[in-house]
Amino acid sequence: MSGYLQSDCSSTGSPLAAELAVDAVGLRKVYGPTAALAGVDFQVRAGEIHGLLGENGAGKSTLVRLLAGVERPDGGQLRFFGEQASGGPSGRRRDGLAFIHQDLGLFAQFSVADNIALSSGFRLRGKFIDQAATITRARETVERIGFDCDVTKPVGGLPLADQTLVAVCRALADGARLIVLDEPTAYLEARQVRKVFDLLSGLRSDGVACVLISHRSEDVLRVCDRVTVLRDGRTVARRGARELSEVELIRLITGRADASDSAPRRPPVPDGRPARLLADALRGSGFGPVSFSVHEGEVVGLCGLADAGQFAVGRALVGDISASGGGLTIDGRDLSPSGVRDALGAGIGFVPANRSADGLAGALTAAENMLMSPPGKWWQPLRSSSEGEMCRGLLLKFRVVPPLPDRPVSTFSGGNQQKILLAKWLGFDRRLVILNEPSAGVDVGAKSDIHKQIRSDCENNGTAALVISTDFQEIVDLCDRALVMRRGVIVGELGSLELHPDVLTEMAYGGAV
Amino acid sequence: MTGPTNSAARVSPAGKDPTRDKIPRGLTERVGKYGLLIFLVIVFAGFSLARPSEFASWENIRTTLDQQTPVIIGGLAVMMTLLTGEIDLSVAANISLANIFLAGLTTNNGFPTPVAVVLAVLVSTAVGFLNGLIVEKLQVTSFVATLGMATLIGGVGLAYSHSTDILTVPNSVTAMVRTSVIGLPLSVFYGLAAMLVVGLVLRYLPVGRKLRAVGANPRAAALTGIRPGLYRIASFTLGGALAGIAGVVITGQLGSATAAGTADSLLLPIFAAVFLGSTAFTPGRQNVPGLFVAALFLAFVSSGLVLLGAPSWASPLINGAALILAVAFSTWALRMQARQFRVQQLRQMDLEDAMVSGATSAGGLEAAHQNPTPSV
Repeated sequence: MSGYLQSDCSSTGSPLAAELAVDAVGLRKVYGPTAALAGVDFQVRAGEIHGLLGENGAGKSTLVRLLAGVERPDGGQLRFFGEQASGGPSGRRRDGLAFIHQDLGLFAQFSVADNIALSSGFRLRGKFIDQAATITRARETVERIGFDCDVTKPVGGLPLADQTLVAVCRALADGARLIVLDEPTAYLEARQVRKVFDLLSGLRSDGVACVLISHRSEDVLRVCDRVTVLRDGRTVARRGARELSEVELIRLITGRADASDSAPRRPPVPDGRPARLLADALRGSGFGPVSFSVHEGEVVGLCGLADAGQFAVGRALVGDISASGGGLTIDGRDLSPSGVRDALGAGIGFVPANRSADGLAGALTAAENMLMSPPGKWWQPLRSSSEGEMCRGLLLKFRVVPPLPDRPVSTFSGGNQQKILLAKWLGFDRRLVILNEPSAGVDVGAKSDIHKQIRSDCENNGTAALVISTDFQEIVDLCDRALVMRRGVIVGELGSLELHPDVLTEMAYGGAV
Repeated sequence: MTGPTNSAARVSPAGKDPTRDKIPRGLTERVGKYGLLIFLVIVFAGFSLARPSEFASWENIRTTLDQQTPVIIGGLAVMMTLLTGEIDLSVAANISLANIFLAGLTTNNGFPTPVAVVLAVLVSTAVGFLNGLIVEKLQVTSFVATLGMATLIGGVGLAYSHSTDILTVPNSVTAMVRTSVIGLPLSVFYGLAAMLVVGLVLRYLPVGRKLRAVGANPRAAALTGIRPGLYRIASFTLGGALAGIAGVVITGQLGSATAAGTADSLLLPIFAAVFLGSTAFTPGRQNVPGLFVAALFLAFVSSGLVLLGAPSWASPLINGAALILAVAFSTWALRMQARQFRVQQLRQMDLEDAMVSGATSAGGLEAAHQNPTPSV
């Protein structure tokens, strides 16, 4: 194996190496007896946007750690801009590498200019900070990529997309020639994604290379020049983005033919099913009035741009924020939740959008998370054996790997954590589940598992589901019917036969339909 | 003891797990779980060999158990709040407060002992409740709130006793604690009872899990219908009650009360025992058996060193170092555990890959072969 890799490396040749920002050949990384990377080839040219794809656990994050110098490879060659890689993270920074993680590492209370200056150095006058010069310099950096932004504003007040761009600017001010972005768009809605990508595209002419790690294959195909796909610690494909279709790309990522893109057109849910949830002119802070219904066994999407108010509707349904007016009934009974407990008591389940902040307690085990508030009276003792059996059954059903209920949730991968979060509600016979971004930041395989599980629960158990999302593709893949919100009110409704992401996007933006 | 039984119950479902059985457990995991217990045995055996007549005696064990009882009960109080993610720095001062009130009520005010005991515990409970209200309603961080409360109730104790020490309490108070039953003073039984009750409740009743959930992620707990504020106030209040009980025990043991705070110096030993205890049995989690083993371990190390002729400053040195090292060790153990899990997970994936039919892997190879060289 290594011999082959050696020859491969020499054939790459030094004359070409100069134009490669990253040249990794046959990278191996072993943890204990396990190979996280079993021979990964990865080349990024200067001035290109390069997509790095793979399911969770395929080796992307290990590769990034090796690139960042956080860990050393156990085998293979790693060169940056033709130079043999050496040193740790600070050395890589000097070499012109920058890594932007999902947590952007910005100081929310500091201004954009201060955030940029904190990493690349403040302009000084004598021994003191020259505020005016610092701001001017930040402004130059921001304008370099055509990013329209007031650099004196605190970063925390900016939209998430702009924060991502501030992180990019900070890297550029630092002299970065290669920027690695880990899931920069996972929590952005379409309009913001476009903004980020437009500005990243502008970096090409500066010769700055970008590596884009993303689960959103359609985004990757749109913006990237080339893609590298990892699977099980190996490079399985390196292609130009133009020669690939999304279906092909998903097949490469999962290694199996996947149906998530070509979701079958569903027949409409038959009329006459009893309404599980009825909202009548419901109002609250940030939304309303909205009126809609969710029927037994139906999956209804409630979508819109990030600020359209759909998340506030969900929180009001579960009693997390109070509604200021209107009526709610569940199974014909009035529900006016004064708190989460009332709503849960009425049979509602609530999966929050941000699993680490609102959904799961990382230090607790999977079983403790799923049974955080155990059923039964307070004096009834917990039975660890029956709980374990039950939770193990749920983990198997939701295809969590490994299905070990006594393991802390933080030790599961992101996709598995999301499945555990869903199992916490879908596994326990709810009348209505409210699912906020049910597959945010999970890989293609896990996403399809999650969708199947939601569908089967609704079809077989008659659970009603309200999927609240900004991901229009997901709404199309998952829902029987979709309600589109804009500026706090429902602006349209699409039945199963009319569902299409483009139509949803148009309605969400306020286009005429 | 409750120790081994408790932890055995915790791991039993995993033991049945076939996937888990295939994977040999790492040494670090076992060291993490039983390391402290092993250390306790080593320390006891070591000092017993060095000073057989003094250390390896029933008398020594009995005295240590007796002396550690206030630390253990105080540790339970601290544990209640730590579970919900809060800290109670007023625990030692609260023990002192119960101490001065019990001594004062019986000696100076002539209250009957049972009434005085109940009142003293109620006073400490009220302090705990107040801590909870300050943290929850005034939104003062528990670190600041209880630090202030510790000094404040120290002042209350001084005011109540008119800054006068109480050197003798009625016999009924000391008898309640010192009376020997099957060779052990009653104080030890109070400690064991408190551990048993708290341990069983935390382990087997839903409230234990809810407290942990509030500490681990209050927002997730709230969205599951648990009211974090209620549980925080309750944990401070129960912590106060336990501190009161510890105060009663210490009053009986000493037969006196100091106006300036008899038990104030227990703060560090209590925290050292709690944090060191959280490294044992269920590493990274507060647990009662761990607290018990840790308290004994620290006590044996201190008393053993004193027997070997170490100066009196050895004890604070050990407690202080134990506190720091325990926290450092438990974060290290958690990192190791996470790493262990990751390796296991990757191995599991390899196993699954091997099980997947050859067709898929051949397809994968083919895909890789399509682009064996960089497409530069």
